[in-house]
Amino acid sequence: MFVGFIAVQLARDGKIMPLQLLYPAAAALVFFILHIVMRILVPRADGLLLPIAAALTFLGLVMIGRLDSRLALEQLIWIAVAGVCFTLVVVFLRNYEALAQYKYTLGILALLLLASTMFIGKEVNGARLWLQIGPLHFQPSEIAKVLLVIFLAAFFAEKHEVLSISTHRVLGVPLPEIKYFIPLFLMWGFSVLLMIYQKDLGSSLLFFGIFICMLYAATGRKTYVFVGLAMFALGAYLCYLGFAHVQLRVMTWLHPFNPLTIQKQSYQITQSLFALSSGGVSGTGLGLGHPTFIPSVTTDFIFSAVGEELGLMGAVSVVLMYILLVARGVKVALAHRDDFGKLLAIGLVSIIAIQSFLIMGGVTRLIPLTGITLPFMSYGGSSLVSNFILLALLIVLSHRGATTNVASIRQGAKQ
Amino acid sequence: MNKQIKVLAVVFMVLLLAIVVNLSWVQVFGSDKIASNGFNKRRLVEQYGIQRGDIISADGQVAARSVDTGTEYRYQRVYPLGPLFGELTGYDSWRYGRTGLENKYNNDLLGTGGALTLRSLGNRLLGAHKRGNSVVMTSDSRLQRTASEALGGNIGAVVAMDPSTGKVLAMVTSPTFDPNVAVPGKANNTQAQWDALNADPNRPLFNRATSGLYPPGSSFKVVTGAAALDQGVVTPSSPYQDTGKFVVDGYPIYNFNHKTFGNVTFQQALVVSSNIAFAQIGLMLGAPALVQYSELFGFNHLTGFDLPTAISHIQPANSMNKVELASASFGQGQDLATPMQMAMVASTIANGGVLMQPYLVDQVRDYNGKVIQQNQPRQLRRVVDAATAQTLTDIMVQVVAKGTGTAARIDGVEVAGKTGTAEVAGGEPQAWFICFAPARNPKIAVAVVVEHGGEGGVAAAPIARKVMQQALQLQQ
Repeated sequence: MFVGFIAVQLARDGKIMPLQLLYPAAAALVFFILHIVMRILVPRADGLLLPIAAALTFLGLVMIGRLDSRLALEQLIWIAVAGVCFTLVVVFLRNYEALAQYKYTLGILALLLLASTMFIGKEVNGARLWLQIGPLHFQPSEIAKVLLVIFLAAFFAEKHEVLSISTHRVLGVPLPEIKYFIPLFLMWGFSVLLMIYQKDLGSSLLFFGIFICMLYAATGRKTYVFVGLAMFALGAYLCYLGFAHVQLRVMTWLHPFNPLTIQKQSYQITQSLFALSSGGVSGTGLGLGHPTFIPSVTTDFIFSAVGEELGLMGAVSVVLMYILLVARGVKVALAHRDDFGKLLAIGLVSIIAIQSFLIMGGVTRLIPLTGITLPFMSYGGSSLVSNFILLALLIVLSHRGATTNVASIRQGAKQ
Repeated sequence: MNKQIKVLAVVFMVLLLAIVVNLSWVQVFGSDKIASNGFNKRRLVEQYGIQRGDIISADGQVAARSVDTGTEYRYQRVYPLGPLFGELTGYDSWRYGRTGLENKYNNDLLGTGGALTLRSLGNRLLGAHKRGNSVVMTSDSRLQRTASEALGGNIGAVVAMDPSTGKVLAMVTSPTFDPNVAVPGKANNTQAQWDALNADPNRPLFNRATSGLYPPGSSFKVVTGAAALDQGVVTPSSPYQDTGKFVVDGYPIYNFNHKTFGNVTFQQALVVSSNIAFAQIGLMLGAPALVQYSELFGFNHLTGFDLPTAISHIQPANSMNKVELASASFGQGQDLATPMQMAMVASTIANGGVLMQPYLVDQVRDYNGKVIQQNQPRQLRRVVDAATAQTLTDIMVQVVAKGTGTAARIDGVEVAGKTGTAEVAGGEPQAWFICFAPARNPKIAVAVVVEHGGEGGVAAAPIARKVMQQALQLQQ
């Protein structure tokens, strides 16, 4: 991170400004404190989760500082705020089971947060995602995703046995009672509403994806997955037919280089592709490319900036870090004993996996582009805070999982 | 539940690894295809991040330089001399591309081409490679200005060469354009001017000097005469009968203005410009020899000049019938020549029968002024014997002294020349004059064409005279 900051300064100004090295120093300090907090309060927690998140956050900070030096300070402040939230979660939610009791409260809160933007939201770049409180812009869907996962984990932990029972068969396929499909329909309807009213394809996909993953994890029924995917396909197709902005996303995905749209509708995706292609294997070097040509490069497109300046090697490293993060998260889920903890862990992992896939796949034109932040790396307070809370929950879960396992092994030894 | 979690883990891994696979396509294997898209600004921005070298005239005037605009395309071109070297420097514009020397010497001007010497390597390591090299032209701004003013409002072109080296000393085409118009800036929106340039029916963006193809008319008699003398078909005193009308295969040939010259020698035929005598000379010479000599002078060949050139044209010998051969011998028929080509004809005679490679760039210098490339004169080929050139020079001196080219006379200097008045369907003839001076020790050869100017001796010769006079003055 320090090297990154120095490289950017050299490339930009040709000299090193020592004062600016306070940025990486401060960020490093935040993570050092978080590490101490972790060692004291949750000593048996997974030792890799925090370092991986730190690496992603640092790389994000370096890139943001390089792209827009004013934003680096803001990002740094948000890292500190997110660190405080992390600490609060670790301090107060070590008994995370308590969350299950408030599942409906949290679920309703998540819905209210999401619904709020439909009525009092501020439209930015054609999507109503933002709430404005004084000078602060706030993206409720970022917080809502964590609340939703807690709610679903608690809900499924309680109901998964009922949901798993098949009572009758249709065309030889064993099916649960129709009423148990109701949650699926509700969630589907909710996602579609989100897409229609907020034009927020990214969040809509993310929420539905999380839901399907958790439903499958809880019940093990492929029927739900297939019905869910079929409904998703149907919903997506209907939206494609009904909404111009969805058609546009698909058109710019299929034909980004169409000369008629390349300077307008598909400008963003093609600028991203130009950035990535100019990066090559080793990149142009920090501060030596032109990632600022990409609109909203500090938020949704930060991955393209990494690809341009650090090349394939840098970009693949980022993907590998997410893979590692997901792998450690899965390990936490597997190690856990109670259903709520397992579901909570796999739900949180789903957020990271799906969200990073959606945006990295989007900016590289693997899938149609949906605007969503890259966890830990993108500029933005709501995103950082919610991802740090997510991380804190995973760390608490890993600590508890390890503790109960050790306890049960001891018990086994005594017998 | 663990089984499901493992399944999900596999799904997540597959999705994220798909990104890695796709990335290696976008960033490595398919990257050239993506990056070469015309809408990718990166290459332009990189190019315009380099301070291009200057383009300098032979007398040290800056014809093109780069200034820091502080915009996205940082260094942009300014042409301080305006339209004077418009067609020579061409323009370098992020919107309209590159032409002229800006295009031909792009790598030198950007400092990216050329041999990687120890010095240039040092410059690169020190970061100085972001400044390009300067290009020094063979053309002199004062002579260029004289030629431009002499041509005035006429549509046409002037090409002046140093016969012994092939250096192009001046090259003017009219009407021309100001290359600054091709560089749109923050302050000046030049779109309307640019559109007007492109819409102008007189085509100011077209370089008539190198690419304008005109019937050479009687100026081509120098080529026919050189071939006939060199082949021994004629001597200066060979007699011809000019009765005002000469019929070839039932097709009548006349002199300009239907003049009759009576009994003339070869020498007199050239001085008075008798079409009838030259038709007979051509028939005696034969199509293969005429075409062969024309090609030695440069017809039917690409000149290999620093600017794009059109190929001057003579009909292939095997498809030429007698009428076409007779017409071709005095520069009518299907002959077409660029002013550049006719300047090469004059230069060859001036240089004792040896054609030099014409060139426009003398040196390339690095930004410290050190010469990193010096272009040397290059002999293309011997076209005619020295004796032939000498004989022809003597006759061409007579053309200016007492023939059709008296308007090109300069006091105290022997000038050799030949007029051309090429008749075209619809409109006044194309006026030509080709010449060199001083006749015994030529320093400059000039070709002038004035579109629909009328008689070469009236419209073109005075322009050539002014150019020669200025060139000789500058050399003193």
